[in-house]
Amino acid sequence: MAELALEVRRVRKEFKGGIVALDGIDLEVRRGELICLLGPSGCGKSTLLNAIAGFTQPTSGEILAFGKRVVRPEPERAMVFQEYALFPWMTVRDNVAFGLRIRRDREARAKADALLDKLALRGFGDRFPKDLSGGMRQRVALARCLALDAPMLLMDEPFGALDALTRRSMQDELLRIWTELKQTIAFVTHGIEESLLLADRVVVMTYRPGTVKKIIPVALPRPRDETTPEFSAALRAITQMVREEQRRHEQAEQT
Amino acid sequence: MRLVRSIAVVFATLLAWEIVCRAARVSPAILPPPSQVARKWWEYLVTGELPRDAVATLLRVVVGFLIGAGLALPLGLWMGARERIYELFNPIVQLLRPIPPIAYIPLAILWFGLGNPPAFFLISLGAFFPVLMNTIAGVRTVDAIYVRAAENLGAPAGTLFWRVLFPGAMPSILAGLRVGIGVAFIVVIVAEMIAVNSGLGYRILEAREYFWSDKILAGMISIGVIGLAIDTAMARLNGRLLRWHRGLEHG
Repeated sequence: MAELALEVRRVRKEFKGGIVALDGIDLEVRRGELICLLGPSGCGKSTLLNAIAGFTQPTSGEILAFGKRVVRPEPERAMVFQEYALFPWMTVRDNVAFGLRIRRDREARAKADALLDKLALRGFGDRFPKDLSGGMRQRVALARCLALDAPMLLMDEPFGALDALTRRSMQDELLRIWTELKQTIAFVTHGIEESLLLADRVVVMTYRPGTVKKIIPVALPRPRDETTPEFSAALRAITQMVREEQRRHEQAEQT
Repeated sequence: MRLVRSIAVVFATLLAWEIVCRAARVSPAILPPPSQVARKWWEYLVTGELPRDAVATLLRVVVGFLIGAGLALPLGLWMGARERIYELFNPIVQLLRPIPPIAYIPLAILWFGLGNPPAFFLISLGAFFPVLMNTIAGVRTVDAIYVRAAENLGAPAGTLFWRVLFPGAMPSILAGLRVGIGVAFIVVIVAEMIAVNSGLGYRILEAREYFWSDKILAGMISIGVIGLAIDTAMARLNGRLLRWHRGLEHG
């Protein structure tokens, strides 16, 4: 069993028209580690996540997940999208059971219901996604991924569309699940505080071309408390770094 | 209250019509008063002629619609899901689509003679294109994020099509079916005026030969009521099948 869950090697992604979205990305993530990809919008962090998921292929370089090269999307790397991407024509239960039914799991329904209970969605199994609030929808999306026991979760600004209070409780929910199941998680965010609350390591990315500016280990003990001076100090340090990057990005847009 | 007002407007219109006919002594052969039309309609109904005509017309609509939609749906799904197939067939579809089904009447009679066959042909043609175009558009515009999510969850091609693309396209498909049956109903009236000797379309043309304008109007009103009933039924069906749809959230 390889110690590394994810290896990103010299990945470069070029879009049509010559825009270099990612360049020379090197990243190693251990099993059970929670990393945050942090950077301004347009820095290619979602592009990197999509490449890890297998939705797109890097122009050069390679990505290995659990020692195997990523060539297509697979349930072992389950994606949670910012827009939830729940199938609106299926009930909540059918959404959660979707992956299980593909595997012809006979207990799909029971397992889906158990997950709904676990994520405080009991009684909503027969509802349609449109009847649910944003936070509940994202919990359904999370349940849909958890149903497959994915060893790796890829999360693309999953809480970005939620209000601050809901976001905070979703972060706790995620940490609870991760503490229990110890998946490897790659979490894309532009929230500095969010990255400090969640991550073992924060990967700060630069703007166009997207490169890894710095990887910052977060030594703060868990459960983390954003009101402690240690948290504030760490926040200040990263904020400075990100702001610098933001300034460069703004200058780049002006010229 | 709104309903009461709407009904009041209908009655006021009928009343004005009645008054104009009587006061101006309009020839009943040109425009009979509504009271006379109502009497004629009742007679048309109780003699069993109207029910027979209505059934004949509806039967043609249903058969023609089933043929047209039955061909358009699979072709539309195929064209929507496969870019290669779309590129192959789209030019000819675009070429044929603007030809109104009515323009096929001479060909229909040449090919099928008189009777039900040319009527079925014309009606199915009328239903075909709205269903086809909406099905293609529906499948092609299913949000790519659902496809990604399904692939990510391990969905094979068959599952992707039947559980994601098809239901995702359903709102558009149903809208197409609704338009299609509406067009089929227009075409059936025309087809009956030309190719057959039964049905509502035939009956109002026949009434003209005898200058029975009250029967023409009675027939027209029946056509209107049946058309409205078909459309309402389709709308209800859509609402039932699309309970999940966002557009109905405030419905």
